[in-house]
Amino acid sequence: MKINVDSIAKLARLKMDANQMQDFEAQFEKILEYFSRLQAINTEGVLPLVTPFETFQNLREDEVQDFKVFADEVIKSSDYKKDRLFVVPPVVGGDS
Amino acid sequence: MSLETLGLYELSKKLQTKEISSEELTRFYLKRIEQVDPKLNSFLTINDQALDLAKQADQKRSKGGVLGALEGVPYAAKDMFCTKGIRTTAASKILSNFVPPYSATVIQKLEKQGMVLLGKTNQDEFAMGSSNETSAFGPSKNPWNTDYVPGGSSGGSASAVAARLTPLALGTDTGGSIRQPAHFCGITGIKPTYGRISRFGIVSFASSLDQAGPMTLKVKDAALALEFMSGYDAADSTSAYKDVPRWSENISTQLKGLKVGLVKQYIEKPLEPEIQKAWSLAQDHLKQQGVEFIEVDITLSEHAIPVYYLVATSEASSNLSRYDGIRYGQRSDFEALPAESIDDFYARSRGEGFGDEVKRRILLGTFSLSSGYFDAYYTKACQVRRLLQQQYLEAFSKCDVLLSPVASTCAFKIGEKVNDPLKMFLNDFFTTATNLCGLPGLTVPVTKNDLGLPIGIQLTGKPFDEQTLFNVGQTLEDKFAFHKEIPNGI
Repeated sequence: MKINVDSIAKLARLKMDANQMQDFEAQFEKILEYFSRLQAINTEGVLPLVTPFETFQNLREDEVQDFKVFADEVIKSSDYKKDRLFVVPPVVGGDS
Repeated sequence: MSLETLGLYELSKKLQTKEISSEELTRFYLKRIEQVDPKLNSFLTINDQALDLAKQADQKRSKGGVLGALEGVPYAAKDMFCTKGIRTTAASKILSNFVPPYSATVIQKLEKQGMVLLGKTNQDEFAMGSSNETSAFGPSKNPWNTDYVPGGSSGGSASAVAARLTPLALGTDTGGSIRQPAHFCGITGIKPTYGRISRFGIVSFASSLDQAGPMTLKVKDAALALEFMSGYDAADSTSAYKDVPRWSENISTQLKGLKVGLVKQYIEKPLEPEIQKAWSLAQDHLKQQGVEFIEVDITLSEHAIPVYYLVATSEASSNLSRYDGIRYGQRSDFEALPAESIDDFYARSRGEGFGDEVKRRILLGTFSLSSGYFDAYYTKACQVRRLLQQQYLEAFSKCDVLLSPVASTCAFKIGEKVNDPLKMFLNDFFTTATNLCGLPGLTVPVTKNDLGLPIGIQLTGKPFDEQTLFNVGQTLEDKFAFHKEIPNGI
């Protein structure tokens, strides 16, 4: 099966050059062909397992925790900041 | 006293009896790193506070203060573990300047026990790879022969332990990333049961598969380190409410009557003669110890690779969406060339920051989660995952532990597989099912091949039964004593 790498890269917000996309397209075709062996397995009525042990459900108390000091630390490690804010360039237009 | 022959447990005893100081020990490892690591590239960052921490530990000991169980013992951590104030890169350009504002729970726990962090080790970028060649900082090398890979993704950790640059290195294992490099470098490494160790503060790759674990010279060292790494953590709701046993004190090599499973599909698989030989050596020795071998049928083991790569890449594509160039990490130069749109802003920063293997996996994951393909790929993989887990649990109703190879080959040459991603994926044949099913897995070194490269053996256990792995692992270590061999070409 062929993947349209260009459209998947848009979904994944990844900018790549055309050569790389072409390489990936050929590799994905081989990989998906190998993966297609799963289709032969009968999974009718089987619930998907998304985490190994579904019985874990460790919830903590829903209490407010002070984040202020930590927020200062987080801001500190950014290269793009002003006071307690992250700075981003102005972006005009766009797809979304 | 030759320090490079000693493991974590012995070193901690020598510190306790004041035969050696933490400062001496830390200086010894820092000097070895300085001398040897330029050939191995196993460290990405050295902790410039290490000697101060060692001196503090010595002072505490001389003043009779309250000591941690591993007070003053040096260790290293894979660069997946966030370390407060110390650069943490996940071996990616996108995090090349990231200094975390907090430490991972595991790091905090080891700090509390008084351990001294020597530095951060090299790895595959975001732990995606089986050879350490996807690191943005160049590959780490195998100390047994520097033309060969150390394995991956915890390749720097394995290389550093094997080269005696640290008595303990932390690794993470999503599909074999502790066990396979342990096999390639001739050391011991355990991926514990999913949930044993908090994942808080570890850079996320695939959240339902990732587990941290210790990499050491000997089995008892791994058992000891794991005791202090494990336990429930309110910051990780997938960590398990389970008592943490004193595995290192409870190791028993009385194996008579133990039922050891051999997977039928592995027996029928054509294996490299050297891998077959190591597996047979281990079986022969365990037979002499009175274990009973049982053949178990896991028909879906052949399908673990596609299930694993669909689940892991899907989770990765979601986890890695956080790297957007806004709050931390690499941002494209938008002053030189302004962004055309907000999507262009993200896509350019991500396109420049991620390496090829990471891009490949984000794309595969995005594809399998995308509209129209979700059911056929992601959901299908998760359904097969449940059936696979059922087969493993069924096998464990007949036996106590599984014995198998770790990988289909020994270490391979740098560059040999880098252009064939499917070939690289297939090298994980024996390790990925363990993560998919949440089971614990241990690698113990057994012998070497004709080229002098190590060969390990893998033990897979029932959920939360790490003790049996340590018991059988210790029995194999007593026989083969691979830790006595030191790479001498570096």
